[in-house]
Amino acid sequence: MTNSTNPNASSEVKKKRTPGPIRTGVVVPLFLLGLVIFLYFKLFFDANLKWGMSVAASKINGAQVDIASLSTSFTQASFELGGLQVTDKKNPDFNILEIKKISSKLLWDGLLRGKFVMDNFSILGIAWQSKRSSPGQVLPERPIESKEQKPSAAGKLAQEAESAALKEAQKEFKGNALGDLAAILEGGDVKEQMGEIRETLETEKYINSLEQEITGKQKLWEEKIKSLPNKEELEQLVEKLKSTKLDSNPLTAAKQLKSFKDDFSKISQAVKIVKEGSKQISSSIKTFEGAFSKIDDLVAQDLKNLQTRFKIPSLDTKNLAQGLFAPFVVSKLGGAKKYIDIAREYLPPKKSAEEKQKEELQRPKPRARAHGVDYRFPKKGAYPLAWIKNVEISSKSPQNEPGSTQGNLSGVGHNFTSDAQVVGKPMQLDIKGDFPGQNISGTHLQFKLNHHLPNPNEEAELKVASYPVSNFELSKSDKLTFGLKKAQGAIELELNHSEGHVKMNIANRFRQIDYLLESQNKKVQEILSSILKGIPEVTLDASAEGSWSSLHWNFKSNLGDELAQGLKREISGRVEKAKAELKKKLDDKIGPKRKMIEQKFAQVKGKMNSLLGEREKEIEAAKNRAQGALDEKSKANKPALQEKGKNVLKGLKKKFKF
Amino acid sequence: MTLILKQIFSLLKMINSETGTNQIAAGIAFGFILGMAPGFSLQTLMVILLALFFRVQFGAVFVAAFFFKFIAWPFDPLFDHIGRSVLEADSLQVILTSAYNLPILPFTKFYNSVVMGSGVLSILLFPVIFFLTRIMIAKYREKVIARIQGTKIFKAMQATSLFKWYAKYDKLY
Repeated sequence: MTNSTNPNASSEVKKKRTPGPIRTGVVVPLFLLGLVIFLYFKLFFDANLKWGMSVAASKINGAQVDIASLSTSFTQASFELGGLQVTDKKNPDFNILEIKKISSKLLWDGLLRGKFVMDNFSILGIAWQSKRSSPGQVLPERPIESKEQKPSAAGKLAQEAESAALKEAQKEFKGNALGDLAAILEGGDVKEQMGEIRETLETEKYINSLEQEITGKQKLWEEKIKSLPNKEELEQLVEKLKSTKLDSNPLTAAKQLKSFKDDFSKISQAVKIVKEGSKQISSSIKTFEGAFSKIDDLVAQDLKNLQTRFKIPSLDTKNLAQGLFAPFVVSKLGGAKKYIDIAREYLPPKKSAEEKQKEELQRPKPRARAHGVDYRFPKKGAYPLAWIKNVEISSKSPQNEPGSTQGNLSGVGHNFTSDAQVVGKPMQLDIKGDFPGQNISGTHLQFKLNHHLPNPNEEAELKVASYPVSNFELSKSDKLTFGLKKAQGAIELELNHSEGHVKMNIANRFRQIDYLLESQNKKVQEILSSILKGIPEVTLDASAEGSWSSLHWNFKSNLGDELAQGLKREISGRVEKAKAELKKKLDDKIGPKRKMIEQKFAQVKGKMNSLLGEREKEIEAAKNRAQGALDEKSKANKPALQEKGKNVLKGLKKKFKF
Repeated sequence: MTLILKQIFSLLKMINSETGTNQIAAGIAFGFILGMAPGFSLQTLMVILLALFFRVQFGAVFVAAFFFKFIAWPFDPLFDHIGRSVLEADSLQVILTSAYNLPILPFTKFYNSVVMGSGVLSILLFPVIFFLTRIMIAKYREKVIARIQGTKIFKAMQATSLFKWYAKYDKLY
């Protein structure tokens, strides 16, 4: 029996065969798995994704969402969606939104680095409220859980911005310039229009407070004067000086004189204290006197407030233009800020200088992490996390459909990115087009977000070559409604925003104007009609600068100039009369009190000056008397002292036998 | 799960046999790399693929990864320290910057101090673990298995019909 025929021998040979280090058996299963995955993505993935997206979008929308075609490519990293139709669930015959084509292409170069870099992203053929070929299916309504609807962060920002702008508008531009003018124009009694000043004015409040203060100050000054050294205290010292006789012994007398000199210096010190105290009180009185000058400022402020309250109009051209156009322009501000805030939130600008220093090419400071720290090694020209290099959008308006809100728009955008610093280019959007259904033509909108610069800023520019204006009310009151019934407008708007500082310029032109002018008073109607006939074109130039919370507006309009000039001829005398009448009322109300307080202060001032003068005079007199007495004593003691000296000298000569 | 259990039983069987020392040692060394790495990253996948491609005992990989995962966390400060030293080394800045901006490589998360530290340390210790495991398996077989096989209980168990039936089943399958 040979080994070849023996089965046991064969199995022994098999056992001896040692397997190699590579697991060859795993290659085939892995290959098969890869093949299955490849075939699935090649044959079924697009169809499954299209179905999944359609079902998910329909559920979210609550009505049928159709996707005509969808194709993806792994090798190209591209995505293309065609024929998106989103049914309007309230009106299933129409689509809320229709998009002919959405396409995007990611760069593999970026994907391999974990970055989403899109060379081109396009949304073409956008249409709203387009007719569907067949009604879309509407899904049954699901009961909605009652949750408190809270706005998103961006929505909250927008709401705050809008309310801030509107509040600002209400605060600054309330009133009705032409309505107030019309009231005067009608020629009614100025006195009747004004009524009485019933409220307590600011000036009155101030005068009352001054009165209380004067009483307090008077008490204070009097106490201070009392505390100063008086005549009685000094008289004692003066009397001591005068009455004390000098001793016959010259040396004792010299000692007495020294004591007198000390007393005199006390008197001099007292005089000094009185003079200084007097100076302080006079200074305090003078300072207090300055408070009276504020009364004039308050009177002017009260007069201005009363003019507004009693609707006494201003014929200043700037104010008139502001009164006419400001409420309309400012009320549109909320919308503009909303988009800037959203852009800042989602497209963050450059970080602070310190952060920049850390994150730039130099070694950055590591960011703390739960386990370890992540280091960054960025390089200029590298990809940011997300970057859409080019964006293309377009929409088409249906033909011959008046009133349609859709437009023939086409736009391009560049460099939409999560990190403009890395890209080093501005984010731009440029949209042009017309809205034929709305009779709007030559629209051109440009946005430029310079978040790549050291000082990030945003620029926006809007131009509309022609747009219709109808029933644009500029002024409305019981007396008068004034505005533009029909006109053709053109607008150019420029907006610059940087670090909370806004600069805006608006240039508006209205042509082919049919004015809206309604007044119950024929005279008013005639006067204003004749003025408006000479104004075929209305211009409105507005500029604003400052922070969003306090914008400083400047309005200029030929309408304001023309109206002011025309109206000045008619009513300037009456306006001036009304102002004079108001001033008189104000003076009548405040005058007596003001006079009283001024008189009271004058009395107090006089009294204080008199007291101080008297005290100074008395104390000075006492000092002079003391000085006289001291001089007299010194003079009397001088010969005795000389005689004594001579005797002492003689005695010494004798002693030493000179 | 069944696959993992099957691999673990296979490990137990192999460790008690006289073959597969290198496969077990390599499996434990691969498992050491997996266990030391924090979280899941590209190199984790690469180690699994290598373990799949080479004839490495997979049960040993799983068991070792599980074991080292538990004992690795106290060493995180050490990994962090080593990682920082490497990532902050001036001489490596050019290489690291290039690597950071290369395709695929950033998916390894090498820029994280703990990942870098644990990676460097586990790769350096890979041969140490491999040879240490080989020695330990040999010692285990020499001392423990031989002693157990010499006991009366084991000999009595070998004489039972159940053991014979299992031995036959094991031989056939």
